[in-house]
Amino acid sequence: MNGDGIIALRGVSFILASHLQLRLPVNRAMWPRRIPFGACFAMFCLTAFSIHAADDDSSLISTQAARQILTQYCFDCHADGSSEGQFAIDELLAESDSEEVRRRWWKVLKNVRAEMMPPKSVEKMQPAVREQLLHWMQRSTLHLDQNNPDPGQVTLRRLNRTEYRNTIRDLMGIEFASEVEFPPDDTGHGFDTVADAMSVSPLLMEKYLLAAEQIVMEAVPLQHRVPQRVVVAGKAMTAAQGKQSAASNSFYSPIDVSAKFTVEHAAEYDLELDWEVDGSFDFDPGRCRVTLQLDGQDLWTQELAWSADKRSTDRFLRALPAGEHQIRFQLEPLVDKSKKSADIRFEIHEFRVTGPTDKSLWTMPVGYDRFFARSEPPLAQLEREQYAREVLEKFATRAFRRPVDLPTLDRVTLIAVDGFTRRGQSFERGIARAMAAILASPRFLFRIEEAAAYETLPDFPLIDEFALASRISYFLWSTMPDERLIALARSGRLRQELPAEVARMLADDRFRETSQNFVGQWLQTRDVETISIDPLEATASREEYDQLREQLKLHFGDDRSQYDRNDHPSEIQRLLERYRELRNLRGILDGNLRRDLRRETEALFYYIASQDRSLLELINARYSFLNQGLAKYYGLESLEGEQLRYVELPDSSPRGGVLTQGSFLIVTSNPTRTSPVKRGLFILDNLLGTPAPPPPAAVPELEQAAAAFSGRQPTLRELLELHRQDAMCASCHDRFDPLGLALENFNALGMWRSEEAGLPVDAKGELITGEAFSNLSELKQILASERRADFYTCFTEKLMTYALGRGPEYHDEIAIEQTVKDLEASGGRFSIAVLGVIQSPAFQRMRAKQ
Amino acid sequence: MKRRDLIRGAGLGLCVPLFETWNAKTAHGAANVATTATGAPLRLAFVYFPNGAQQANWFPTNQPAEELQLGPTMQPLEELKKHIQVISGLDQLNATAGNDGPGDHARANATFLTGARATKTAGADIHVGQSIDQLAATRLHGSTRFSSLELSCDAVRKSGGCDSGYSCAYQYNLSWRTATQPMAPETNPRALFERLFGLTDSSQTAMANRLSASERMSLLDYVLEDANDLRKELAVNDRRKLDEYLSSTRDIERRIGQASKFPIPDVPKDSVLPIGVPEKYADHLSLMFDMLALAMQTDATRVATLLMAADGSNRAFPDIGIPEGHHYLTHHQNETESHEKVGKIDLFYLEHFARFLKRLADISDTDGNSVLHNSMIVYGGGIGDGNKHNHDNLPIILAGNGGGTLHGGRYHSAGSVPMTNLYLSLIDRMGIDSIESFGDSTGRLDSI
Repeated sequence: MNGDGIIALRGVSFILASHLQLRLPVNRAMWPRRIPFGACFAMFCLTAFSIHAADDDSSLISTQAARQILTQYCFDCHADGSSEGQFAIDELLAESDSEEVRRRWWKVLKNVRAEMMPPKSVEKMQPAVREQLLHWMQRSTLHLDQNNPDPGQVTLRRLNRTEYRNTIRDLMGIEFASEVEFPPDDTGHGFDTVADAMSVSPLLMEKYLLAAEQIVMEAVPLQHRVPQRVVVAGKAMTAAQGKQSAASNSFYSPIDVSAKFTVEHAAEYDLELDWEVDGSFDFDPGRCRVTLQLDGQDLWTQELAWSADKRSTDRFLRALPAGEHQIRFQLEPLVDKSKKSADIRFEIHEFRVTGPTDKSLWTMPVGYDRFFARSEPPLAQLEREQYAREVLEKFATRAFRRPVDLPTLDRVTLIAVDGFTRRGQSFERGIARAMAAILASPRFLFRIEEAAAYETLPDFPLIDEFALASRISYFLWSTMPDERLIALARSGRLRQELPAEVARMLADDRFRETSQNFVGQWLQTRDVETISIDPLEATASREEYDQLREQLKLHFGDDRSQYDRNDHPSEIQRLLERYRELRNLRGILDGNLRRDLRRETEALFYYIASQDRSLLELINARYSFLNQGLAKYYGLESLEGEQLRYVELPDSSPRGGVLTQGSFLIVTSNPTRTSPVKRGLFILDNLLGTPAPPPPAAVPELEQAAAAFSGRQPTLRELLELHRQDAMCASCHDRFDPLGLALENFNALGMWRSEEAGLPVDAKGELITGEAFSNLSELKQILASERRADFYTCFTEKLMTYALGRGPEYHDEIAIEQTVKDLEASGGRFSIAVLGVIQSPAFQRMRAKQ
Repeated sequence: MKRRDLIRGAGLGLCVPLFETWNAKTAHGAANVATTATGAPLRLAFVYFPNGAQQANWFPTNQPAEELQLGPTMQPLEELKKHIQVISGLDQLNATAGNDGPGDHARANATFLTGARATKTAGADIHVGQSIDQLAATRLHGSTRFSSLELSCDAVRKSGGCDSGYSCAYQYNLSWRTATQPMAPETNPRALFERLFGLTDSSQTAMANRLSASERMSLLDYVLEDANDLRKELAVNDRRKLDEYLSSTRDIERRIGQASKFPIPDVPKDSVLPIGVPEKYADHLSLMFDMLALAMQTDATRVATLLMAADGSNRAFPDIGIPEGHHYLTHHQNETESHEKVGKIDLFYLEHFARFLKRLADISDTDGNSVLHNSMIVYGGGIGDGNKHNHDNLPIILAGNGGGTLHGGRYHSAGSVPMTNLYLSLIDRMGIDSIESFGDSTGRLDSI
């Protein structure tokens, strides 16, 4: 098959409107559940032809031909009474079409595509035959119609914690710590963007309301003119020398400190001193004189005695010349230190200068013009209301990511007007209240999508360009669309300029964070920061460490200083050095290293994505992003500095690609040892997209089999081999064990080792699809060549899940297949995968609302 | 006619699905619900621990009989014996594999308070059942400031997929408001403290210009009105999500409406003021128990849940000499060392629980009894033996004396009956009537 039969997806959305498709109705209700062999065959022919009558699709084989292929390759195990893996394809062939039947065919299709079926031990299926069969399944069993593609169901999406934080940042210009204030989002399909898994609990709603209030009050200026305000903290009043400050001082020590501040105008200012006497619970006889001087003149002076706790603010009005001023604080003890019985201190919290008191000299507050177009609101009531409407229309359009409808605008305006008229609040305070309502509104918290008005496919219309702008923006930036995207959507040019916009967005810094969100969840990179792991257990050196500690303790007794010396007899010195080595190992996975391990994977992914390089480099890169700590951890040539940077890896290094990175190797290990099973499963799930079937109940554990090795500690490879002697276990373990065992050269900390349990690591193996390898580097080679299509498919599905907020469905097959073809043709460039997702019907369209 | 009335009159109640059976009768009848014979508040709480129990150490050393002889794991409860009963023979059979294959941890968590079978899905069609605490909460609505509180110590979650194709929602939520809507738990003790006692100083400063109560009410009016309009424009499927929004918002509206009835209490003396989520798990757990005790003491709510860790948790406990992960350890069949370690982890959890109970036992309630006396607290998990992943004979402790209606100091067997039978008997004591069955219940558990 050459692929001509399937309309290239590139641009499919734009031309579909002109395609009219002839569809013959098929009355499925009339199909019997079980139908005789021959009848079934005829029926399938009919279905296939009827649906695709309008397709000029010469490469689509007949159902009779497909049946022949299935008979030849599948029937031995899956028909005529045989149903290996509880699956009989003859029964499936006999089923009439339904969603459930399509999902079952979809599984067949995926197994055939990934060459899991037919198994390598059975007759090899020629690629051309495989293509024919796959194509037939797409058309005649999944009934995919490229001219009327089902985009699937994307449930109403609320913003997740990350998106909320970023949207607030872009909309309001302030940082809101949503990851602290909001409960964690539930996830589905491994991502926190999956709509169905995200609910709005009363707790979250309560937090949304509080956050809306808090954010608006922090971000929106409540007056259009404010006085200048200078705050000098007590600790900012210091002496020329020494560490003294006015922050907190004993009544018994003299102090003389000062600070400078500047005022803009020659005018009257309001000065405030916020001070406190902080005494111990018990009486203390201490007394002191405190004096505050402004530009050499006494401003405030008091004689103070013990008080358990007394806080006060004193105010002064002073005319100040424009320019710099000095504030000086002195404390003079009046009782000698020898009398001190408890404790008593004087504290200056703040000295504040606010003014001028003449309001005509006040200025526009910071951030005012972000929300308000004019420098001050009009005075006349009608104009005021009209202006409030303008302000809120602009804001709500931004906040809702689409034009605001009139009833909504009327309502929010009413809230503002109620504030600045009936309640006597400032104009801005009224607006702020309306803005809080907007931030608590479902139109802000959820992504509301509409169909495009000009759409001609009634069941599956294109989404309008505002919805598209949001989909792209939350996909690539994890935040709201910027002004440019909204402007393009408004003028209806976003779709036509999509590739250029996507390129712009990928080059933008906002994409960096999204790339971290995606890779952090896809490869579980985030977990390396929190996963429990014991470095001594993981390197099988706990016992040695404990023994060394005992030995050295016997030798040194309680004299800790002995541990730091290096002049011990050579025998002891040797023990001590080994002890130090293990002690370092014990603490090696500290917060910094964990963070760097996470960043390394993120940096690799971001580099490939932002430079539009081949996705295959995720598997086989000959470079990485390292700093001093990581280079040392990986035993590479030393690097200086904290900053992660691009480093070419030497030929001698086994590193390169995510499979050799600490983040992956650690998150797929148990806390005390590696887990080849977990590592293998991870590769199947997240790189090859061919998850293994779940284990049967009550499987004996690996360590249980250790008895067979008569006291010797077996390697994990030996244990797994024993396990695979059971044919039932082998049927699945053959899929993932070889993958995981190929990584046994890396311990649970991701550090290189050549031995495990005293035997040299043997990394050779064979994939279930038949490719043999003798070490990890050959395995990587296979993943990046023979199994490349599986990787591309898997990557596309993961990206699609993240972008759409739902799991992949059978009706996404055509889009995924096309994206994989495009990836093949482009050498796997990242942007091709992104465009493939963005231009898929699933992303461009919606199911018509019912 | 005021706008508020207009909204009510416009039939908001009709648009919001009837999640709750809250009505005037319940609110007025609050005197007899969740109240002891002596007129004190009666509380119902559930505390969950993950991965089943190390069987040999868990169960009492005697046969189910009148006198309770605690096994090694329950030693911390020794001095509280008269307040607890250990019950064997309680099952959650809807957590078994059935036709759903693996995923026992997700199911254990999801079934524990619902007694229902969770739909196996990684995202779409999440469905399990209303949980017993929420059934109680909706019936008691209006008798305390919070209908219920949900707490969890899983502040950081594992990324990637959860258990065997089940959405993580099943594992990280114990409490389900409806079959499809989990109650997200609070993990931050500081945030919980602020919900109980108002904003702390630092947050207060940032909120110098807060909205007034009437402004808040009008804000709620607006969003409800807006959501109601929006609802009409949405596809059927999307309405479900908006309904969650609507019902949650109405909840808050009611709470604000009742603010005068339930003034924010003073912080009890000697209470710690938490700053945030502590780094150490043990500290986090202690704080969350402290917050739960405060909530019960101040009668902020009479229904609460605490998920100490999601089932399947692979947390290591290096501070008590256990570098391996909990889940990993439970799967080491018949290896003495692992057995002992799992026992130590069970003990770790139980020590925290015991400390919490002691605290409740020391707090005097309005009727002169202790708060523990006037509570019913189920402590347990949805897996029996972590190695076997069985869901029968679950490890269950019933603590508190239910205001004198529960008879502590005993070890008894329920035979082999659904856990939900126990729940029904507790719900009865809460004064919630006419609940004939719940989840997979087959009757009441009269022996408590």
